[in-house]
Amino acid sequence: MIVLSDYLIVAALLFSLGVIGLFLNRKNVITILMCIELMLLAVNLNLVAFSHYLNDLAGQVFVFFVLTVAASEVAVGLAILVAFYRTRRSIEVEDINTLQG
Amino acid sequence: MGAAYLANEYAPIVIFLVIAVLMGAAPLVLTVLLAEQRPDAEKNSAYECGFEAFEDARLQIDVRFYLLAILFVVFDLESAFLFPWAIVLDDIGLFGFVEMMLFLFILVVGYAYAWKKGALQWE
Amino acid sequence: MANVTFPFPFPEHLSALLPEILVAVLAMALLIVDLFVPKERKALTGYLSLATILVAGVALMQVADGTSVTAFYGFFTLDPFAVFSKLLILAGTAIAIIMSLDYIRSEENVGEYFVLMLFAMLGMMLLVSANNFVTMYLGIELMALSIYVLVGYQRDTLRSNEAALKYFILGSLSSGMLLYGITFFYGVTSSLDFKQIGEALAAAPSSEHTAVLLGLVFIIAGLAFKVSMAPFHMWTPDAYEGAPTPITAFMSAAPKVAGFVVFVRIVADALPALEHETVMILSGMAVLTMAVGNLAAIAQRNIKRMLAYSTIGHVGFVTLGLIAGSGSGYAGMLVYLAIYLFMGMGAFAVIVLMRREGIQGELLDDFAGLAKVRPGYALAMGLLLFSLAGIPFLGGFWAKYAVFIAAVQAGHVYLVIYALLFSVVGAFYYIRVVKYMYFDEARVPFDFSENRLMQATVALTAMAVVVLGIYPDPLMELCRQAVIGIG
Repeated sequence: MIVLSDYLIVAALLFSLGVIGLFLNRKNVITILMCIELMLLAVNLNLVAFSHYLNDLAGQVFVFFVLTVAASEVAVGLAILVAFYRTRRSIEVEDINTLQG
Repeated sequence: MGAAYLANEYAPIVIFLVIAVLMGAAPLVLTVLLAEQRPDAEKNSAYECGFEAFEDARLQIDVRFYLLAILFVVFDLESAFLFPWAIVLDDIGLFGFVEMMLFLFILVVGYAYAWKKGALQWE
Repeated sequence: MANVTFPFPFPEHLSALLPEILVAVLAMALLIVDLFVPKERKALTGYLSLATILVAGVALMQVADGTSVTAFYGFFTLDPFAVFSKLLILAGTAIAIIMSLDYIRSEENVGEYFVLMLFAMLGMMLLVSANNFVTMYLGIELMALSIYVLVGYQRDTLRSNEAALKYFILGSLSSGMLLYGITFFYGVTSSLDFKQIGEALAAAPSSEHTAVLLGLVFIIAGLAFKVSMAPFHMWTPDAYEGAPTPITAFMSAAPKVAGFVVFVRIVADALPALEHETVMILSGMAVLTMAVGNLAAIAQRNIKRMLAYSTIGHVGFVTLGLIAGSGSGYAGMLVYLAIYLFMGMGAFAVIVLMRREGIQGELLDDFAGLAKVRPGYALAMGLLLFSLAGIPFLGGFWAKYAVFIAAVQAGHVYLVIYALLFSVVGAFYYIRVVKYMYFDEARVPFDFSENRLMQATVALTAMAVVVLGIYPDPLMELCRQAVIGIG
């Protein structure tokens, strides 16, 4: 029997992986995009699990919105990344260092 | 709902998974068991018509693929709204229909914009 | 959703969305029209955008009748609070567009620039009318996605690209945190509506306290990112420095209004049961925000970066109104945000004017000796900076006065003393710029090109600051009226 807390723990693990990956990653910006996606998927898992156990559809509807907005977000992110690559010729995290403060 | 429910609903998928893994693993296992083994360092080196390898085997993909991929991601996922809408189309009446047409119209505006901008042009 | 009946009834009070619908339709039309406008006449798009804002403003005044209406099955609310903040957002966007008309003449792809500003504005208009986490999320993302692109608008400039990339990464992180917090509130209350969540949280059993606290912390962190409260302010200086200056002005004013309005709605509607915890978290963050903003600003040589930290400092002061949690606190926030809109955007407009042949006009040194060459610019900038510093009797003084009084009334005397201390620290770096302008010798040549629109903008904002300083009562009364029924 899979209970609600199991889903929540998996989602929490995924979310933490996303956040940790975002901060520890020193290599590639694409990895950062993947980490962000991982966080949003953890959120979706949470919403679906709650929605199922509460017997309430609103959560699943919200998942649709989160999914589509996340797609647009990634599209914008990739576009910015391509623009950055064209001027900097690199997408290493260490090379994002012109602005300092 | 519980273990029995899971077993009934997902049993075909489990069986499918097992068969898929077996199909993939069988040739690998069989070659180890049946074929003659003569390991040699030369056999592991990169092979390029007898020359040393000229360049890295990893290619950088043309940036134009990214543009298409970006457009695909956006339009592809927006269509996810169509599936639940299509299922309840009988129940939501004219208002629901008009609402989705508006949504699609907005997508078409975006598509027309991308088209006129030349984002769909390969060259 | 147990209470859904088929077929859907036609949504009631759809007319409450008239301004938003108009902006959406006109912005999309403008996107297509712009494709057919020849390159040398691109300013036309800017004027059409201004017309769109005017139309939206007129429509807003038509549908606003001083009552509170919810539309779209309760997903959208139009009350005086929303109307007033929408007017601020429209004004902020209009000023930013006027600032852009000349600034981006040298850039390519001018069309999307104005259309993206309209979309960002639409997102903010939705955001201030949100009484539901779904509407709020859509509004936030529409605003944020448009602004990410606007920040990276100068595609060939590394600085701009990098600012956009940083802003995008941290902004997405904050959206993720906000959503993660929302899921816990949803799990505990099985609702996404602010008011229903508030009622359900008040009745929630103590066994669910951990989940509720987790949700609270993540939601506050996510919102704090959007209004750049410390310790979630890291993106602000970089994004402000790298963005085109009119966009920096835009970001410093309008999204802050929208962010704080939705913050007020959440705190007042969804979190009254958690008032103690909310006030505790927000107080800590306000203290940190005021310190970071006002202290780090002193070390900056780039005036855009300095004003970015100054914005963070002001965000800390505005938070005091949120902490007060009373009608007068929320009214004070509106007063503050309205006055800040003028003085902040005015200061950035002067920076745009300082751009000249080969010089960005963003360094403190570029301002040295300005008073001798251009006494008008120096006077306006001086007034705006004194107002930002909160010197009586300019607009900025009354902004601080309104929130500080509300915080004292709510019993947060120590916070206010602390805030006063940092106002004094803050005054130092504002007045330093004035010293550069009036008492230093010029270090770089001044050969400005004339720009009537920008001069008018600067003159108007400086005048607004002076007039509001002498006669603040109408604005204060208006804000008091706007928050009736909130909290």
